Amino acid sequence: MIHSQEELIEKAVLYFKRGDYSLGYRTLLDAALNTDSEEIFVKILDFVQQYEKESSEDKSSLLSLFKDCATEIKSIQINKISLLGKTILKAENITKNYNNNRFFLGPVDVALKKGDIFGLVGENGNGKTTLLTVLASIVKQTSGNLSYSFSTENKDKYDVLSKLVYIPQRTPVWYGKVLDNLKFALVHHGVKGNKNNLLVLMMVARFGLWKYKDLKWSELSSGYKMRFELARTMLRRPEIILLDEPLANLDILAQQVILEDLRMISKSPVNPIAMVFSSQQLYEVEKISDEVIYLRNGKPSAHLNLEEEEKNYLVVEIDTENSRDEIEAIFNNNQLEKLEFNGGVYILYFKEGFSFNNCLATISSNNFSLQYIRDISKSTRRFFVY
Amino acid sequence: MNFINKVNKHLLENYPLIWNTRLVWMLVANVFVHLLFFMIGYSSANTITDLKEHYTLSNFFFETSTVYYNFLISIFILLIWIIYYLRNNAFKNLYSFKRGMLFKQFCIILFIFFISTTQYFSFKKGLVTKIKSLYSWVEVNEDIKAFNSISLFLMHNQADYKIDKKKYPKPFPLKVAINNKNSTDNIDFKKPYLEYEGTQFQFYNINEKLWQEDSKQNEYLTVYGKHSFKYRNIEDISAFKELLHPSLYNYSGTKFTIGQDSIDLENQLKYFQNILNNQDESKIKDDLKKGLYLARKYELSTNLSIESWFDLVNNSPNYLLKELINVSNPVNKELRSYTSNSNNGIDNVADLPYSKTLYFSFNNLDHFFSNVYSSYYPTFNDVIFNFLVAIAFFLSVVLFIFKTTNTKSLLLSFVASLVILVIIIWLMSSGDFLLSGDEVRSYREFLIMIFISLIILILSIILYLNNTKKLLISITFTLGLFALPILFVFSSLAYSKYLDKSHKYLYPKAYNYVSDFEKWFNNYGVFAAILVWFLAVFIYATLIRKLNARAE
Repeated sequence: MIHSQEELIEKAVLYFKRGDYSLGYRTLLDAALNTDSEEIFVKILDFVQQYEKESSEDKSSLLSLFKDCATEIKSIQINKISLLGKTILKAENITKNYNNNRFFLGPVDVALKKGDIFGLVGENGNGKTTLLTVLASIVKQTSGNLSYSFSTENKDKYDVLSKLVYIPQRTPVWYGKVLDNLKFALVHHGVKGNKNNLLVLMMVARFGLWKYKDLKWSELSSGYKMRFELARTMLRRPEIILLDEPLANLDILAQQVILEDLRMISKSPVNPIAMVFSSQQLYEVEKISDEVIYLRNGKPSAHLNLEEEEKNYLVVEIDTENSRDEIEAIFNNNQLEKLEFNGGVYILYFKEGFSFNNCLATISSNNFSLQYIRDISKSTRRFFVY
Repeated sequence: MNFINKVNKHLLENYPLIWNTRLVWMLVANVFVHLLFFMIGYSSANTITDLKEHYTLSNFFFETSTVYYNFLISIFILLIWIIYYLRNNAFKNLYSFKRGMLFKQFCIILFIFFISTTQYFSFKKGLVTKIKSLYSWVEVNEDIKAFNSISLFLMHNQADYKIDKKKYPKPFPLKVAINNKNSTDNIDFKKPYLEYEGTQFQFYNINEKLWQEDSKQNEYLTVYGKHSFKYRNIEDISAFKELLHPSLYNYSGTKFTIGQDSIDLENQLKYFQNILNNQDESKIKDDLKKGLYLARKYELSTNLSIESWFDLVNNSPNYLLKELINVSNPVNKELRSYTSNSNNGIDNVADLPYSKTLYFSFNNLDHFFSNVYSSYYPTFNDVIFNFLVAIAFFLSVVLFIFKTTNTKSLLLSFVASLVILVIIIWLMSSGDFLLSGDEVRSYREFLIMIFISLIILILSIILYLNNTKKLLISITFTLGLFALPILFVFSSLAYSKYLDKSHKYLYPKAYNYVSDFEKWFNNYGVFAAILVWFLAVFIYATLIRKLNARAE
């Protein structure tokens, strides 16, 4: 967790120095965006052009330029009071029923603070999208209270919704160039003239769209469409972002980049944003989320008493070429409580007192063929096993 | 291209509404299109023949292929514009949007529709400019007067030369009562009358004063009673007995009234009287010469020569007509028979023969004069303007609805409007079982329209307040956008009728009564309706913003 702008700049330089160029570059751009200074934007965009021109993977030649930029950014004093930790969305006992009570969501309680990232997981048809749309005020809840506490006053509901961005799983088609659409979004949020141009270019660079800024929707891949949505969302300076399956249809690398971006956006020391996103990528969701809400048949994990049931037992997910009998033979000393196979992977439930390290030691000492192993004792992954 | 990109960039970064509506480019495109139509209008009239072709200036546009070119070009420009305009939608994306922005957007699209459909006015401007550059009204006006003065000698129509047409000198003009085979009680034989070829004629004036007094006292008196013996002041015109035969002396017509006033007419009658009274052959010949000169100048077809024409005319002292001049070459028999049928007025003499060879054709010269006059003294064409404004408004409203709702809502609104139309037709044609009382029968159509539009408006308010489905609300909002101006128009018409009926109930003879409200509505009704429509759009723009932000 980065707590200040200075820390953010230091991290950026550190990442770049170590050779994590992309991460360092994006962190530096975040720091530059925090300054909201046109002069800084102009300087950083000069660097962006150099960076984007550099075809080689080794970008160490740009380090001195990078450091210069960092120094320039550092010289800008940011007086903004960080609102990190301020509650912005409060949902109490939210319920929603559809089709004459054939589907019932909730009751769900959510208290979202600035800088919070909540992951929403659950199998298809269990109410993830419904919950997100209720939180986004797109769909009205059947009962319960939903309230927002934005940092600026809003004249009407439309203004409220313009500060709260919901990105659906299937992002809508847009027409014209990437750059024009981003400028159009930004100018409506009060940034005009040259600053509009500079800020849009900064955001384009930040979300890796530099080479694609003149392309149209139909010319972008799914990953870049999602990056475009994030760039557009960030230009709107929202206080809450709700994303429905942002990782769907993305390759593994794109998923990692988007997730990292989401984390960086949300945890910004200057402009923290509250975020809820749904996904099927359990490991990734758990990795970046502050809290995970698991929904089964519309009921959240808090109401399912699942944590209590599995609290003290080790549950491991493995993928192996060994047979079920061989697995049982290895863990035969009454260590294994239960073994499940879903056709792809095995879920092993161990007795109390058996740790993950014990498990790894047993595997290594038995010449066991292992493709994948994961401790899911505390993961929502275990809820997906029937 | 670079310039266009620069302008677009500037507009996009500073004036999103102007960029989104492509106002600048539509203005530029329309300046060119309007210039094009100005040029087409300018080149539409080059000769006198061109100007004779159409009766009014607007016919140069609406009776030629120009109107189709205009239609095609307008559609083409508007289609391209709509594609670009619908590309970006800040409202549907919930971008920060000030409250008045939607209404402003509507005003811009209305303006764009208006300038893209009004090329007619540029065409007319071009046409008028050309006509004014070719012909001077002072000269044309002189020629009209000259034509009117020689029209005395252009004996085209027998009826114009009969005594009932005579207007000068005193005591003419007079009304004439005739006793013939069919009616034998038209004449007061105690008073002076004339007899000609077995028919009796009595000439009279109406005693208007007496008629007015009687009319006030007796409400059952009709205009037909005005000609009864009681109100006739019989005039003795024995001195004009010879003129019962068609004569030049009787002619009091005006060939071309365009741009002429009553003084011109009076002068013309005096001129006719003088020239005939003087019996000056050389002066008559001068007039005939002038007539032939004008015929050449205005490309009229005639085979008259001064001599042949003078032979036809010169029948002093009473200048009785011998033969008529054909309006077109008598070789064409059909036309000749048509012109001979135009003998109307008092039926005292048999049809005079038309000359076998002589003709003088005006070839729609009145079109030419009318077009030149309208170029110098233009009158604003309300009908076309109002029609174009209404079309532009309708299209703008439809596009605005699409921009602020969605295809589904618009299509369902269209279906709903068809259903309402069927209901209206059914109610209107449903006989007397509905609104059959004497009092309301004459307001039936208005009341049905008022009732339907009120229902739509009330329904849209109820649905909006009850948080019904957004789709249903947006459909009723769409219908309400049209219902409000319809309610205004039909309420005004009903009120106007009510005022009319109330007044006629008190004053049954006030046939020509027009209430102040009706006068106002006739003059400003269209603009008032447009203002009400603007109000409807303003309310819609405010409510649709709230509706868009409402959770489903």
